[in-house]
Amino acid sequence: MSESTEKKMVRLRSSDGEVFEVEESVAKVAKTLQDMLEEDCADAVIPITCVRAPILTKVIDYCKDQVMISSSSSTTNNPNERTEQERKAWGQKFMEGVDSSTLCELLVASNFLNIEGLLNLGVDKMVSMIQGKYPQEIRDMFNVVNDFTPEEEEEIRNQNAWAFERDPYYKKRSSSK
Amino acid sequence: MKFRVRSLESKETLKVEVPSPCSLQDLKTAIAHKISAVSESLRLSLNRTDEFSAAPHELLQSIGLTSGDLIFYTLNPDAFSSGQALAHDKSSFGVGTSVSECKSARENKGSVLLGRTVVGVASSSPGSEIPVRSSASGETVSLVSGSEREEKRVSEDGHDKNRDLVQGDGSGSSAPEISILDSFQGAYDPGEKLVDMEIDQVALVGKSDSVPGFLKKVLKEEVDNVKGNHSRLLIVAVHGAFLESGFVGFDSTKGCIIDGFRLPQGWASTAKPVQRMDYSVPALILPNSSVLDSVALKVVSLGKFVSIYGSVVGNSNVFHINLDVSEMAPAIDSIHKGHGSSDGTSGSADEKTVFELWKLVKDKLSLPLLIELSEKTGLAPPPCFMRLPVDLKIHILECLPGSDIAKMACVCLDLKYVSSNDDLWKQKYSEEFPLTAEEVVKGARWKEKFANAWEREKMLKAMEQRRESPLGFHQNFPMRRPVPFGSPSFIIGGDYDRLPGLLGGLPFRIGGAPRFPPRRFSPHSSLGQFGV
Repeated sequence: MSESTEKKMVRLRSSDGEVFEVEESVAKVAKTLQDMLEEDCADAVIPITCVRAPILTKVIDYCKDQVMISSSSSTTNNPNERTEQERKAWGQKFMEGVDSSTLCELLVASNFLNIEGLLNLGVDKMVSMIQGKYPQEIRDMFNVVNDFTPEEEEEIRNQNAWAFERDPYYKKRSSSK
Repeated sequence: MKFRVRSLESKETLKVEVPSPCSLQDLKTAIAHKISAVSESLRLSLNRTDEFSAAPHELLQSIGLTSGDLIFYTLNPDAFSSGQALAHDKSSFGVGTSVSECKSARENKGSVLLGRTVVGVASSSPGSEIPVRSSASGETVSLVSGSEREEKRVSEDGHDKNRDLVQGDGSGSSAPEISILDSFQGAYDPGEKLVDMEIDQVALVGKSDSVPGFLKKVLKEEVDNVKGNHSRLLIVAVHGAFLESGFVGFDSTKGCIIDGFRLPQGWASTAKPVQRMDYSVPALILPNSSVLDSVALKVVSLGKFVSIYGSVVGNSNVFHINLDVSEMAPAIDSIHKGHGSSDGTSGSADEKTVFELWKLVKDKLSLPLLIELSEKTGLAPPPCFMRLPVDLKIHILECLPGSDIAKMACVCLDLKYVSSNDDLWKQKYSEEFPLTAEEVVKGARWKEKFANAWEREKMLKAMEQRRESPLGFHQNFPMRRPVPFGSPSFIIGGDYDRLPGLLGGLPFRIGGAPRFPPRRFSPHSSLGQFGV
């Protein structure tokens, strides 16, 4: 068991000043932090400048879970290891109830901390939110301002008109036009 | 003189620049060059209905054209009434839809299969004949001065007579549908036509994207101040990216907002090695056009490099990027100058460089500054999706199907540019359509290729549905297996697929359950296995 040696704690500070204390093994799920810790250039509190506390909590939850999976699978070989399906279900549950702005922040955080698994979960969620939506629906969902001039909008709509017509792969939807 | 030219059919707008004393013929040549067409077949109009009637050598000024005018063009000789032509008869335009549907195919010398509707209009000699469509039979007969031509056409169509009879028997309303179906068949049977059509569409679509939007507007305003000075060109590009992010230019010496896309007056004439530019956002501008809070950019030219330092005025945080002038500026220059060149491949390296520049400015300067400015002043921060780094946006787009990327492009300026990335579309194309060796080599303008392939599939799908329709007229058509290109998944279905040899003899099922249990034998099996 490696746990006794890895009891070392790491402190992380979110952008809004909250300090989180986590086991080093948990922090090391994030590749960015792993590099910092291995090079010993982080002794006191590591500032995570672009991540707010609620988001960092969520990120740490994810990292803790990853540590749990990997430690259980390495000690007892198989029984606790998740199947592909279980992993998928777990990912869906983890992302359940996450709204678009939290999701974006999670993406930024996992990108910055270099946590590939969380990034992929987030991107999958994002894709499922965007897919099949029309531009105005996407704008509404993310509060994006339509900054086209009317001429520009007409031009871009004409260029992409093919995508708005009934497409061969999906069921017919009611048109937005 | 600059003109905007818009295609009558596709509504695609292009920009054309011609030297100042310019004849009508010169303008036609310039436009024809842009759309890769022959200038003789080009028809121009100002009001969409009347063609320019002036002689080719007349100067544009004498026709009354001025710089900035919007000119409509078409390759369809009958779309505009030309004065000399007899094509005033409006009834002849009843074929409008089917003509435009198969326009490109028709230009490949109008195959017999395309049907008479098309053949009649395809002739490029306006004035000598008038296509007339009889609404009862759906037939188009050309009235030609000499009657041999018509005879020839009839004999050409001779072996298609059956089809015409079917059309005639059917109700009048179904006739236009038939002619469209005809054109699909004609256009989609031989592989060579597909390629031609694609080239034709590529020539008509696109090109407008070769200069990214963020550069186009500022370069238009500041082109006189740049004049080959590379670091100035770079400053203009950074300025463009900032304006696109939602900033507004602000002249700190005069204390006023700069309208439009200009830089502060006289910025190019100062000899100082350090330039300063100020920006704010519309929400922080007071009615008397003074500014509550702003962002300052300092541009330092150091030989080969331009360093740009940005900070919110009053804050200590400084964001910094270094730009390599010798790498970036020539790329901007060639994209700007090479606006008219149709060679997509040579431009793509430059396009990538400019995209990198835009990404750098966006991720490292404009976005962090915008976030800090809104934090300082308590404004709503930029929308969450817009705060994602450009690479992450590209990554998300990569995971979406092509049609959804196209919709994302219509959301805002930023996503329009991000989604124009050629590598992204190349990847999507290879995911959703089978790549041919030729296409791999050609590389460039993948979005257009994707859109064309998409349209192709859609038409095939429509054709498939038509075949399955219970009208029954299509049994006399020379049936061919469609889809010479991969993806057989959606041509499954219909009696024809199951019983290729039997079709003519079988009554058609109308709705209802299949007559035979499906898939008990392979589609190409003989009847013997069926045990009849």
